[in-house]
Amino acid sequence: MSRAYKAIISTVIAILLVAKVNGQCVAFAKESCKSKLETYVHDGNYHAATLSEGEGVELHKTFFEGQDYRLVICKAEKLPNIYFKVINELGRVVYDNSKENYKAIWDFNTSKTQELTVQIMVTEDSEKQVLSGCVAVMFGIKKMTD
Amino acid sequence: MKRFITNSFYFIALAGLALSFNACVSGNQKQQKSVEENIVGTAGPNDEMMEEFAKSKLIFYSLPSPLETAMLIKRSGASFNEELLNPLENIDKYTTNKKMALNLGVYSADLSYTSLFDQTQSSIKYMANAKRLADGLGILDAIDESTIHQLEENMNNRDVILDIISETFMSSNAYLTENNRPALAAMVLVGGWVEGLYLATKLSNGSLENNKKLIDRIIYQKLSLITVINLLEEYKEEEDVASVLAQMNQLQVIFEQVKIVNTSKVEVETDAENKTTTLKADSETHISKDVFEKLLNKVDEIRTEFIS
Repeated sequence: MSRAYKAIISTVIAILLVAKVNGQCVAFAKESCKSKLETYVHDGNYHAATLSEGEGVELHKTFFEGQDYRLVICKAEKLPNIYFKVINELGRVVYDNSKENYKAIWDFNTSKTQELTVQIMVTEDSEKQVLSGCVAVMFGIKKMTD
Repeated sequence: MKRFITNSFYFIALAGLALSFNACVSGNQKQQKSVEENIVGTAGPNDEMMEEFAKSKLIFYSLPSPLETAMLIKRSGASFNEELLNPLENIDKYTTNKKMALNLGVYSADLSYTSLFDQTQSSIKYMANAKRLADGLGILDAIDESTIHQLEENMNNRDVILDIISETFMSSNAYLTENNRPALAAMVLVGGWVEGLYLATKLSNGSLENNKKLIDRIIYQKLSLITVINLLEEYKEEEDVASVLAQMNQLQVIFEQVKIVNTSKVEVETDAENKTTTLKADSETHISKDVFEKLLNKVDEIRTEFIS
């Protein structure tokens, strides 16, 4: 088999794998994450990625005064803990889940509208293998009562 | 830095391949990843890990979704005005991918607005339009006939309706971003954001005094606009995105004349009983009548271009 032919086959396989892995994260987000919002309404935005140990994402979002939010971070079962911290516009850490045993749900509200940055990272605790899997981030908003 | 953008989530091809290979090589020895080797054996975050995180992180930009914007409008005490919606019959005008994406966002925002105000018959019609545009963009399975039936069957259950809307919006967005069409996904979000801003500005009736809470909601979109611009910057090489980005930059010129000033320190309080954290801080906003008028006109101009 020629080198060029092998390269084409490899690329096609890789593209198919991208579709498969990404597709799995959509289903993962819907099936494993959304229910954790419980009584909060999902805002409809989609944030998910396949991450390996040590990899992370940073999310920027404006949060509005008067809304109650729930932040949920879900991970594939095989992955170790997910570390996340929330930083305000002045660079101050306003929440750090490592201080609460890597809790994956944070309920909060803000008395002034502000942009917050959520830094999320897959911790490392396996000695020999690099584990990878889907990580999804979802925001819920408390339902209106009227 | 690898920059992965989503309003939702975006894989550029090469990085996507890299991630996929990551996914497929879960059995690889850690020694093969020289950078990670330095932090093996460390449980939990430390400075070294955070340094590595800073170098390799992906970035998500999250805009207020149509549903959240509609909630903000309703919570401000604004009313429902059907005349503000993008007319249903306009759908026949949208034949390009750009127009279909922008107006999928616009109709999603209108759909959210009608639903929050319990205008269920309108919601069903706007969902049908959203379906047509999603179909036109080749988005599979996000909105189908059963979605419309579900809406019809739950006409008196707002919670279920909102859940259906958030699910369809997420599915559309995920489909585009994960099928290598993230620029279109970004346009859907921007269309929805502009429509939300349009509804809010029109509902103010041009007055800074009638509904101060609504005015505050409008002013604070200055922060979201930065996210909008950051998101579009990622795809500015695409002609369609570049034109929308130029419009957003024009809007930013006006928003720069709006002042948001922090007036207190930030305090973080957690209620032990309901385990909810409150971020306490105060700020003041200022917008002149002249700037407000310019803002209203610019939003109207951009939205008119989107829906025409």
